[in-house]
Amino acid sequence: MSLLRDPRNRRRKPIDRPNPRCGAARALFLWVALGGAAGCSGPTGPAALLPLTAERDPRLPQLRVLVAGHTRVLHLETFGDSSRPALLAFHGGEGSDYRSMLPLQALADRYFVVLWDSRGSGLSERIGPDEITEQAYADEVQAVKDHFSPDAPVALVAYSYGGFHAALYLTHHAGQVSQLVLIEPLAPNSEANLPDPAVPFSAEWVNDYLWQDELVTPDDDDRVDYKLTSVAQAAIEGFSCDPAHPSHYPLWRMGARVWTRTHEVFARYDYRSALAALDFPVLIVATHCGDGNVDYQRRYVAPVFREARLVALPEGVDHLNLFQRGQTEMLAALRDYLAPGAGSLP
Amino acid sequence: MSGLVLWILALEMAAGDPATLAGLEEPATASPPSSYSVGAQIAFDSGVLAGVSLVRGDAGIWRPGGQFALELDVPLFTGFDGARARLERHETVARRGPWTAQAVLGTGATTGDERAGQFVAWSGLMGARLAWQSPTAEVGLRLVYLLTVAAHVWLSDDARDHFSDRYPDQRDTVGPSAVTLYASGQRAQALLFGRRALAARWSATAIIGLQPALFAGRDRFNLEAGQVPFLVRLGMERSF
Repeated sequence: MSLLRDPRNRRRKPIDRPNPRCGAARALFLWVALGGAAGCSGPTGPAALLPLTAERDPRLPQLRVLVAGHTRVLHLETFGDSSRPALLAFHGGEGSDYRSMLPLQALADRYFVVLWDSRGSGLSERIGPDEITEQAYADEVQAVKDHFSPDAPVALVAYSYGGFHAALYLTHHAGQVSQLVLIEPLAPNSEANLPDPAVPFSAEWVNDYLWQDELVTPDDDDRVDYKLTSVAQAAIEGFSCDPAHPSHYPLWRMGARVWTRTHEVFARYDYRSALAALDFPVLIVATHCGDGNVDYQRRYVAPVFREARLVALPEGVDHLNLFQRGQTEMLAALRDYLAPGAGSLP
Repeated sequence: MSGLVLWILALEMAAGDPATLAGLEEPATASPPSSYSVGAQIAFDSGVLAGVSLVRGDAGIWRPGGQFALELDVPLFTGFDGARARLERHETVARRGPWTAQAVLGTGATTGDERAGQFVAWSGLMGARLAWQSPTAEVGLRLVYLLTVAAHVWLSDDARDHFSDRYPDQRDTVGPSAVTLYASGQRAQALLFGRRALAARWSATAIIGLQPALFAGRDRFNLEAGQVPFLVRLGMERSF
């Protein structure tokens, strides 16, 4: 029996102790199901399972943009003085959010730092399949850039899958960017990217994901986002340096439909020519762990640029915890690269 | 376990009892005697499941040949921390020759324990089944609507942490400890089922078909959306 379990998942499964009233409700199942449970918990409905997206929560920092014929609300946060040069940051993992990148706000002493969740991702408004196109993604970045820095070029910091977004944007708007930092990105051509790992059908998280069908079906964004978000941490733990002690990846909410559709829409791409034409050096930051480590970056990403500086974070830092555990070294590398006069080719 | 079943099966085959299906020996009988069958199954239905079933045949309310069916299932690869019980009533509404049409009404309870929390769910189902029967075999079609009527989720600390860090002026807000859901899942079943007498009182059972989320749009048959849009259930039964 123990062979069927994933010991990491088991150990990390937190124990949420229900209060005695809820325990009684569990024992008296029918009473719970018939509405008695409402007495021992406040919220009802699938929207309460995850934080609301920005268009439904006015307390969230946000920006309204018009992209692909639709006005959408971005979950967006700025740090620093808006008179400083703008630094736009792209989050990782399609469907994911910028929560893990919050330490970048430390750069606000020199930059006007803009973090946002892409349309359909994280806490930004959900979008339809017709809005998941290359042009729409480029237009979204341009809309944000135009809002905060309409005249001056910006610095881009892109993490993981965000590197794909950065390459896509540069293909359409190369002159809008003056500095580029890629933090363990994907290669800019799909051929060089690693194949998606096979789904481990006997893994506990996969079966928990399927068993949720007894609880909710993916009828709307709230339900399908809950299903994916609830297993996201377990699904990406393979990126950890030490599988026995998986790293935690801070996350608000997965946009499940974007996560699914981008696999289909962007199955093949090649943005190398736009990156090769950049007339400034690029900084690439990577770890020693995982498939996208410093060796991968040296082989597939750095050669694309005219000049790329490669900085390796210390041992023990991995793709999931690099903004937290590698924070000091990463910020130092970024500050060094972003320093005035440092970002130009000889 | 499987060795024991095979050993018992071999013994009973050697005894030479006629191979017939319980309750189907005389399909036209006005008031068939009560019959029981107990089965064990392996299934792919919301994951890989192991299940046991108990079917009690009776005289029916309107026409002969009704059954109560009780299924207990456990998902095998979730760490054995979930379970499902489902009770169904199959009531014969029409019978002509070897054909039987039945209304299906049922209810069930499901529990789960995962990283996001623990849940209990109460479900209901209604539909119909059409079967062709002979003394040694039964095949048919089952069409059912499945509704998760109500559910209660106790969110784990990990799940509640998704609510933190959102508000620049209030970073430490955490999510609710529990959420109640109503009509949170709707699925349809379109299944083919079959049963064949093997020997003595043993029979093999098989169910295969579709089980999509009814209102999931493009995700209706999408496994990546966290569902199994089909169902396969294979097993053995022994009648008493």
